[in-house]
Amino acid sequence: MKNNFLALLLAAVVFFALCLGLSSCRGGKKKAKGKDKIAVVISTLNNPWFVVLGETAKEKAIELGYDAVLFDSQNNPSKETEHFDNILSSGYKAILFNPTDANGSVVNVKAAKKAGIPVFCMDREINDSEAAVSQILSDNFSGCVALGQYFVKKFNGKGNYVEILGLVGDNNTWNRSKGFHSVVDNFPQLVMLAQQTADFDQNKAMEVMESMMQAHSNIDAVFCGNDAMAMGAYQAILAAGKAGRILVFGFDGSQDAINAIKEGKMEATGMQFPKTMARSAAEFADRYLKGDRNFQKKVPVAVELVTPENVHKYGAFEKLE
Amino acid sequence: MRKSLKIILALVAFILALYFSFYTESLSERQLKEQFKEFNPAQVVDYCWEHKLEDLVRHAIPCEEFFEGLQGDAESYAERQGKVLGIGSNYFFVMQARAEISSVDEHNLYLILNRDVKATIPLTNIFSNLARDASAWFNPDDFQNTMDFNALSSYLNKKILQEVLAPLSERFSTGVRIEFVAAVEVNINDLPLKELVLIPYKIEILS
Amino acid sequence: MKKNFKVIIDKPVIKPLVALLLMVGVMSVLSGNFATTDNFFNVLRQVSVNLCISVGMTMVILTGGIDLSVGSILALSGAVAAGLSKNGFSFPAADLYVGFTFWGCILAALLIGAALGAFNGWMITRFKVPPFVATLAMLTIARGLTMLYTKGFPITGLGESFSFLGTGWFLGVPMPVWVALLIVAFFAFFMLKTRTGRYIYAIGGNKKASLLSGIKVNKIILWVYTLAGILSAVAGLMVTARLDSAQPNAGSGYELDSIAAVVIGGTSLSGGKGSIAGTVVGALIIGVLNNGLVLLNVSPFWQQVIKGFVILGAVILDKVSPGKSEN
Repeated sequence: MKNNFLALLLAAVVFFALCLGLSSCRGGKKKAKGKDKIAVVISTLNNPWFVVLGETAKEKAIELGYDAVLFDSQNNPSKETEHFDNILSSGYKAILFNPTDANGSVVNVKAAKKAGIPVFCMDREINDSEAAVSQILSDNFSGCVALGQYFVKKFNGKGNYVEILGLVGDNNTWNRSKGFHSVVDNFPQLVMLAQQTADFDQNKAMEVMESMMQAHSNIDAVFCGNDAMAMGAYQAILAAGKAGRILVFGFDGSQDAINAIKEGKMEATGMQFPKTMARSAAEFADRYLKGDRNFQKKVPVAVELVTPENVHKYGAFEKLE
Repeated sequence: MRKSLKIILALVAFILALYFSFYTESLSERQLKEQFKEFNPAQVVDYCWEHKLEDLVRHAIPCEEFFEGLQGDAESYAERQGKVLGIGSNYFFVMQARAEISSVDEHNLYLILNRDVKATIPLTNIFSNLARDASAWFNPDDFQNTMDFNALSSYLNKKILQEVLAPLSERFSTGVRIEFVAAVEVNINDLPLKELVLIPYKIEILS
Repeated sequence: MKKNFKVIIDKPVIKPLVALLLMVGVMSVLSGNFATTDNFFNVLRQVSVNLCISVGMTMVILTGGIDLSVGSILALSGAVAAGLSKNGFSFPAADLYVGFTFWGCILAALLIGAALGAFNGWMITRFKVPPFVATLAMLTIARGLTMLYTKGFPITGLGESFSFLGTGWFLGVPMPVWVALLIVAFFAFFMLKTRTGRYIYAIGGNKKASLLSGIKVNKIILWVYTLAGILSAVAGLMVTARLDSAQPNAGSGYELDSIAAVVIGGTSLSGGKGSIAGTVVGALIIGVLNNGLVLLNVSPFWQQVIKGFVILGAVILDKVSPGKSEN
């Protein structure tokens, strides 16, 4: 028995030595068949908005002649750091990046810059103006200012509403909320009855809305930090028999929301253009790798207000031509 | 003997720990340093208002020319004469015009411009980044954070309310003719123009 | 010579070691980017955090217990270290601000880890709460405290010293790896060469017998959980330093990776059998697995499935193979 084991051990060691030998023959950072690699790092693939962002970026990069690989940070800066570690040692030429944390992700971008790999931020910014080559951002604040103005007009400056926030650690959550409040808070007869977070999650939002409706019987509207939560809130409202009584406002421009607005279930949303941002990021990376160094550090992409009046012009996450 | 030595060592270790764990500084100095770190939009905006407003007013596009340009190939006109922030179909222009006030309420001035285009000038609240972006005084690249960049708008909007609109508010009434230079936003996919929102950099009462 | 060889073969750490070598070999062949110096350090760096926690976990499991709260304690200590580095105590009356130095933050984090670990130990020894339950409760308590302290926001911008701890290099080796190495070396020595170390094995093997032979069982168990807490705090500092931010949901799920490392390394969950060396190999296996699967672009969901099967495989292999005597 023990001899068998000895033999096994020897075999394993020999095998291992062979493997190492073989792999070192192939070299470390091999250049894959002449095509450069671009990494697309997305904060989470658990949300259709981000899936669209990531997939579009990947498609565009492939279209431009690169190999593209999608990485999911699972909303976790640690995971994101691990991805960057791997990317930096695997010969990628550029990173199309959707950060998990405006401050926490700065380390990663700086490390990439140090390694000579250009980083292009998509949708979310990092609080550093030098680290990334360019940041293509959705101006969430202005988008919600427009939404807020529509909100005020809709209620003629009077009413009770509740707010459901996204992930508290995400800059965008606060950009949207502040944008909305920068308008609505000027009208003292528009009263916010409650403000809770549902982490951008549809199910959580449904539960949160249920609780809020229990606590307050006089809600006229709910403003949700994104469309997924708006859909969840609508479910709760429908179940409570208050559809039509409580107006739903969201943000993102998802297919669900567009349909909901068409069907009169939702009142308005801010259309973000993940496809535009993703394509632009890929194009920027391409230009950079071809030698262009002239980039604006921050490129805002306008958010457009979608209401029942103009919803026919929009599809999911994009404007119909 | 052993035990008392242990106690003395523990005490020494404790004191050393305390010494190396804390540092002190003046509270007021620290507060000053913190304030410095926070972004102050006033300086930047006030400077631009002082030194660049005249130039902006001088280069304003006359109203008729503006409407003419948008009627043709709107996109190329906008590319040439307007400013756009980043990527989008919203363009910003600085326009000069004369018009008669058709009505006033506590929130807005209502005007009718050339070609029967309706316009409003807000009197009590100015939202949006229109004034900031049409001026082209600020580059988002220069600011660490989008919120800092947006803080410029809040400050600029307030300034316009206080220095351009408030002094004249008493004299605004139906029938009064005014001349103004204002920022206007146009979505080139949303033409022809229906209703415009104008944020004035300068207003003069003519009659 | 042959006898010495046999002694080495019979050591329980050999099996997982062989598995590790096989894995490294397979990964090197499958992915050209695996067997590089850069990646080698990546794996070591990624493994460092788990290693710190797992050393504590090994000791806990050796006594026949378990600690599910390590992830939450990691988060709270990291958050406290970060928070104190940004905000100290203000005394407006005396125009005085008392701030925490880098070392002060480290000390505070370690104290928090120790306190929470000791609390676990106290629940287990004084109130006879089963370790599973006591540490499960601490898992939620510590996470809740972290949420309260951070108010759900990450704490960022921690300064040079933290950066160096997390991303700096010393003599060609990354700092986190140094920390893990020192801890492993210290505790390996502790477990093998000191009396208390041997007592830990004894308690796990047969608690009653240990008690009867005069070993202060309760005191040692209390210490073991306290040490586990301290090591979680060390891990918390490493994570915070690496990210330059304390995340409120840091460490979530880390207890599972830690238990997996310990179990794969040959330590028995019923206590009394195992080694720090085995845990090191176990942690490396998980690290290589994680790293290799990512380099091969395997979906993160498949990674979970594969990891689960590896753990099962390791334990089954351990029970089935020859050369293992039942004491």
